[in-house]
Amino acid sequence: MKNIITLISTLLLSACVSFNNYDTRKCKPEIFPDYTDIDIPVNIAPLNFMMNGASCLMVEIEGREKWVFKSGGCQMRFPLRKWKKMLETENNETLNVTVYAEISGVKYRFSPFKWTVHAEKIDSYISYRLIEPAYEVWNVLSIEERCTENFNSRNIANNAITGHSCMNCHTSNRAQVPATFLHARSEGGGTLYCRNGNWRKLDTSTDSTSGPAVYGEISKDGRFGIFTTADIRNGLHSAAMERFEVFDNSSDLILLDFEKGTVTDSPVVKGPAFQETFPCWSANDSLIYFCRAESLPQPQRTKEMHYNLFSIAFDSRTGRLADSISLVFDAAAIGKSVSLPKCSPDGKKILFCVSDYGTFPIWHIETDMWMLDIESGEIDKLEQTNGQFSDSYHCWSTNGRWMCWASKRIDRVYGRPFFAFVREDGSVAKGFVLPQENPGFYNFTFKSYNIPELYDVAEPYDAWDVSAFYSDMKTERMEYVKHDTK
Amino acid sequence: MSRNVLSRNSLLAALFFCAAFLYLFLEVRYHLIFKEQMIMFLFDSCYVDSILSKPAFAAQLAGDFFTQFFLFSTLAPALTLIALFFLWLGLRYLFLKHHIANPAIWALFPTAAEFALQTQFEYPLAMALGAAMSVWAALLCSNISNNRLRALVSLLLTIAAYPLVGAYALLFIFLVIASERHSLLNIAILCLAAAVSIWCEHLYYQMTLPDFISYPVIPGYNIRYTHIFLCVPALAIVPIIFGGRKLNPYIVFTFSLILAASGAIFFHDSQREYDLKLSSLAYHGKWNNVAELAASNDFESQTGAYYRNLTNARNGVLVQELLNGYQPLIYGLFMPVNGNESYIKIFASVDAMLQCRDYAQAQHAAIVGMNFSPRQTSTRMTRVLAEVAIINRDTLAAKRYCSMLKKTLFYKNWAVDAESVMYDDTGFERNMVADTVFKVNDFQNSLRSILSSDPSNRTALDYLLCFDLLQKNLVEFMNDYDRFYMPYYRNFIPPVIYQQALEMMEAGMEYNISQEVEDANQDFLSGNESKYRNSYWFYFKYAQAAE
Repeated sequence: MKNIITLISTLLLSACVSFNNYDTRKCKPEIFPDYTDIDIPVNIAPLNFMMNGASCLMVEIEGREKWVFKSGGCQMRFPLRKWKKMLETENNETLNVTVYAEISGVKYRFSPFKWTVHAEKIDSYISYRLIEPAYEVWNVLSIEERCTENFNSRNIANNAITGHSCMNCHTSNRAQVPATFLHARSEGGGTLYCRNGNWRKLDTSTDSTSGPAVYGEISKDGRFGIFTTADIRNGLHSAAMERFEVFDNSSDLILLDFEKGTVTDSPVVKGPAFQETFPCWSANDSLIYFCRAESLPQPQRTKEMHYNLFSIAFDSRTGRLADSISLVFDAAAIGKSVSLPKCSPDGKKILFCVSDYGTFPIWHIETDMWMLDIESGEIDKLEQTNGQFSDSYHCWSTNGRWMCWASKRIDRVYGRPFFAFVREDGSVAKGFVLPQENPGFYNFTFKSYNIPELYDVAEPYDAWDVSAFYSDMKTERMEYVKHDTK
Repeated sequence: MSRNVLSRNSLLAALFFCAAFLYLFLEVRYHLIFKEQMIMFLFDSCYVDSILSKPAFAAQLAGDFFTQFFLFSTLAPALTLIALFFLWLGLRYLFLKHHIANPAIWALFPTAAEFALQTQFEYPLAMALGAAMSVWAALLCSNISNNRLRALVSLLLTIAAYPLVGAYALLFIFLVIASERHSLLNIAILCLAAAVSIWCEHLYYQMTLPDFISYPVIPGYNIRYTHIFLCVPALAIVPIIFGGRKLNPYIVFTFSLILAASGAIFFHDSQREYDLKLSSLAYHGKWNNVAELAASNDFESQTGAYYRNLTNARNGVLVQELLNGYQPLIYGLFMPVNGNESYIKIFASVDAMLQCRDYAQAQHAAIVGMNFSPRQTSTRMTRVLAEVAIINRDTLAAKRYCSMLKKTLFYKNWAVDAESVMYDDTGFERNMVADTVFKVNDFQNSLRSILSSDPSNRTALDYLLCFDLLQKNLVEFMNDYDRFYMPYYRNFIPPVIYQQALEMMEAGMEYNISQEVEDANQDFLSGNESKYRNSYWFYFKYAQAAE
């Protein structure tokens, strides 16, 4: 119904658009979302945009060929087929995009901006949790899978059909045979683990660990998972621009062996003296990167919590964590705190969040993503990519040439999925928001896009399957195995 | 049908609608008015898209559009009545088409049931509109004389009914099946189409079957018996199936009245109407009316006590009047904000927070309140979010909320005015609160944080000290009194309640406790307690939480 109405109105309105005479404006057009001067993948969905105040629009795109698109309103919605054809024709080309607009009866031509089309594709799918930023409580939430090549989306989890339980952290290991997990909380829940289409519902809490698995990743072979287990609390900030603080009273790392159904750890990543969190695998699964800070009373000394980036070796043959850890990046030394490290698929870079303090970056307006070159130890602060407000919850595309993250730059409150191109030399281009069919969409939703995750193979299940697993599947209780100190 | 019969029937129907209007206006007006605060109709394609992607989009769009007029107290019952009138009118024509005697009276029967349902809080106007749409669609089908064409149109509308009108698709299905009762084949095809479409559509919309069938009524909030709406389709087909020729119209009319009245009485909740009235009057800034209404808290409602305290605080007499009325311990000062609390109370909770200039808690409450309302939208809470963002100089967030409100019919001017304040830097003095982290609903630490940076905030001070007192935590009271009251009000005579608490703590000369209070304390301790029922000593000794 929606598509039919859109099609008819677009055809009717665009028929009367013509820009023979116009005034020239020596500035770039103020379009929303900001898609000016960006690098885009050849398979991205149409970058529909709008221009407030415009009564009709025309877009001229020049590369190998000249492409003209017209719209009879303030929104430019590119037809999918023509868009696809254009990107395929203009692959590896830098396009000049000129916007013409009629505003208050006067026709203008704005200075052109550039779109650089890259042959390196972005993953075809992105998942994210849609949730109101209601801090610590939830009512209606869903995990959605959206195709990045068009506007198709579907729910892969929906708590409206699972008794309004909490669901979070849908994560894929992006392997050829992908393994994914998501946590479904509340009674009857557990960690839903899917590999090769086979589902398991796991109770990852044991008597010897402080709770169930929370933040984490699955190894490339799908056998192991490295997770935080934490006593997570939250509080409000009294100051104007701060909103909310999430802190851990305690946190440790746990290693899950999905094949053996066991949970283990290491004395160097557990215990009350330090807090360890946000673990991630290195490219070849031989190392685990994680954040660690000295444990201090919370929330009184939350602002003194500075997490550094550490690594611990892992032997995938024995499934054993090492007995020592190494400092990778000393954020505390510069008065910063690290969170959410993610290793690039080629193993050369680590992308992480940097805040002034604490463990949970999404509510910190100062949060930026930084990139560490593992070999040289050089830091790139990604100034051209980070926005004014919190940039966090990032991930890499399977080919390592794109990154995706949740940014609050549009309105400071609601997270939106952004993409940016990672060049051969490791530098990162300006980011752009996930395009929507209706470009005004982001201005009129109360939902935040939480934990965006790229992957190339569509999940083989939907929300009804998850609902069935949630309610019908028997929970496997994982067993704790003490760390072998040999 | 004779002219006399027509006149009589029309008169009876008019009587029914007059009585219905009076009931809606006098008894449940604020149930209706509050519905406006729980929706947000935007003149924007994104909003329309969001409705189109859900079931019952035609009923929902029309319902939301008209519900925004519920902002005006007379229009709320009037528009509800108009929706019911169209339902009745459609049924009347339909029954006429089926040659039922006294169709206007028989049409009152299901209309009366829908009227009773409409008196429920949260029961959306979209339901009455959906019912009316279904009936008129059934009428359209019955007007098609070609049997095959009629069957085909009925089949198509049966499939499209749920996406269009939601729950009352069943009304359409019941009516067309009843109309086709002479053709078993048609009935079988329609039943099959209805069952298949309902099953497929509930999977498509990702809703559980019970939730899907009742949509746009959303279960799990304040509506009891979500599926009781099924009585409307059942009552609508009675005259078609059983003819209805033999029954005296006065009996049918009397039954309709009894049905409407008993349903309305069954769903009636006087205390909720009282709470909603307080909350809505406060929302519309009618504080004199709030004070008057809250003073007579006959229900001993928490909301009543809360607004009595709030209006007293606005008049600077919170402490003086603290124990002169019903006081549900600390819950008369602040309403806790969490997922287990009703969103009605969370909506109200924002008012005291704003009065204390506790913007962090107000912002949190507004988002949680909206999140836990049935549709997860609210003009009222969006306005609060815009206000807080403006005060906090959080320009981007303020712009975002204002841009949404600018797309509404009745908040557009407010948003434009708010934006003009936003860009005027002289408009507000930013409250530079020293940043601390405190738990949600930790009102004491929140108020202490505010007072640390703004000691002149007398409302926050009185709320904090009263909170300590109502909590019977005299140690905290003394600490807060010494920290926040003494440095600024040392030379003033403290309010009597504070003096009574200080006397209990055997405070020294510097606290300005009057001789009168000291004597009264001796009198109280000597057993003469009944004279001091409104004293803090009495409260401290006897007040306890209700079971």
